[in-house]
Amino acid sequence: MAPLEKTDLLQGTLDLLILKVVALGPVHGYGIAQRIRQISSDVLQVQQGSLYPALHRLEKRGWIAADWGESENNRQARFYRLSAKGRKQLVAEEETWNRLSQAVALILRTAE
Amino acid sequence: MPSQDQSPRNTSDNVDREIAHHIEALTEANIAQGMSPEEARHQALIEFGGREQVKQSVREVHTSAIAESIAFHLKAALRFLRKSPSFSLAVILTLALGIGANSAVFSAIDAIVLRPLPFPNGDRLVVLYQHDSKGRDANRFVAPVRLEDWNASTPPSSPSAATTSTTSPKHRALSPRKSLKFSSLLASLKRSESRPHSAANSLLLKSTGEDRTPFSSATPSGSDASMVIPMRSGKNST
Repeated sequence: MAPLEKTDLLQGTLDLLILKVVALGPVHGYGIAQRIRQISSDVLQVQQGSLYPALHRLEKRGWIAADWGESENNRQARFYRLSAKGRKQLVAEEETWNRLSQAVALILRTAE
Repeated sequence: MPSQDQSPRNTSDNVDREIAHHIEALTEANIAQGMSPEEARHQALIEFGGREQVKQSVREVHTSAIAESIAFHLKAALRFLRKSPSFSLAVILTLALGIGANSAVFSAIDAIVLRPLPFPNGDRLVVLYQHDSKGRDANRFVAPVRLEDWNASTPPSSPSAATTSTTSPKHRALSPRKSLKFSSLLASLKRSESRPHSAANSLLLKSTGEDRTPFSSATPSGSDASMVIPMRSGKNST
């Protein structure tokens, strides 16, 4: 559980990550944080202080929807799932991210 | 399984429960790693950090749309003001003068017309002045002493005098012999207020110069005593 060095997420990147994780299936806030952490091999740690505002922001925009349900350990948890609007948004943001990261990578390579 | 929430009203409640669930999950993960339950919960609380901050920032998500647009418009307004200061100054001056003039006029109207006079029965106050039909006495003011004299010198009026005086309130020439006590005049005025056309409450009482009976003790000969009741009509009917 040793906290790794926290990588600051670019504004907007967190939204993309949340959308991507939620696209895998209904998941609660804790699960989202855990999955981002596990999939990124502990490189990315989402702070609760940014996770929940982001979840509510995305929900307000209609990209994700939330329902109360029972978690794996029989507790009430708020499960988030992707809406149709959110699916489109995810595709668009993935494209943007790929273009951005390719551009950054290109600059890093060329400028060497 | 999933139940429908939620009205925006229980957002705060939702966030509370969400946070509680998150902390429980963290606690369980810590226990799974071999911590004692208390230690696990303690660590979970530490790891989660400021609950109130999280709740506050979620609240801000739900309010920010309005706040942001207000801030945006305010900033735009300020930028516009700074961009053309002379125009801004002209607009501000126009507004200031306009508002100032309006409030000045309104204060005057409020004090003169809208507010009742600051006396009991303010709508029954009268202004008395006298008029010399022969033009010998230019002084139209009635001295308080003279008014007292009038009151003292005139015998109680007959009811007919009072009613006569009110039938045509605007310019009613009283018969010289009619003596009129001031107080009964007021009483008759009060009655006349119910009459629509007496609304102006203007009553001119005249006595010709030849007859000095009613006013002789106080008025110089030939002077008319006129009485004009002002303007403030019908107040007590509202």
